[in-house]
Amino acid sequence: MKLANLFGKNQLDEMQEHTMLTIESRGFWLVWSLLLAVLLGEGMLGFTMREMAGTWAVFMIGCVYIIAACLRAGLWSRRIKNAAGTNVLFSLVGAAVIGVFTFVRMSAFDVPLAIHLACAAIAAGFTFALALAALLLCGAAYNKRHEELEKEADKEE
Amino acid sequence: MAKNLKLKAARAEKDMTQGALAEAVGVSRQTVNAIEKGEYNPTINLCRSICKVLGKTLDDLFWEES
Repeated sequence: MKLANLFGKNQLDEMQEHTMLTIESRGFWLVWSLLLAVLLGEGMLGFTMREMAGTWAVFMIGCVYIIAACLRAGLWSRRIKNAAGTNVLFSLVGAAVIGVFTFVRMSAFDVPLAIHLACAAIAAGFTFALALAALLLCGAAYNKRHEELEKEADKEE
Repeated sequence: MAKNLKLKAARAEKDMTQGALAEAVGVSRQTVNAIEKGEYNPTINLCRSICKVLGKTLDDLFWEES
């Protein structure tokens, strides 16, 4: 028996169902954004990893779910193409955010400015490399899955 | 999206309210209202159901003149 059927028949018509899906989608992105803001805020305030573990775990579960589900369905993004240029751009954006975050976080420690900048640069560099690697890997998985799904559709014709 | 005046006219021909049509095809009145106002594109199954109830073809009710 399907889990959804435990609560009875769907009483929404097609338009209401479409509206409900839109609401749920916006709800997901609202909670995801707030979790990200909380994580950045907690990091800024000097929370330990142990204290942030719960929030981080929930955030990562959301991220992993949406990435895995989209890749499985052969989807990348509504408006952004899977291209080297955009992957580099978004990796740079992520790197910039972490670079700034690290620079500001270092102000809690009494160290010379050169150390602040070096730490921020190292953090940004590593973030760029990891983000780009993750995007390239996901991009390759997306291309492969998209091709598989298109071939399946071809066979059925 | 343009208003669906043909649907409204066909419904009036049968002397049906939006509520009555909605009940007949198994959707809410707000959905029928949204279709007539051009705010919602029904699925083909719903289009067929509406045509059946109103005794019209898909072209009669849902064809858009360019």
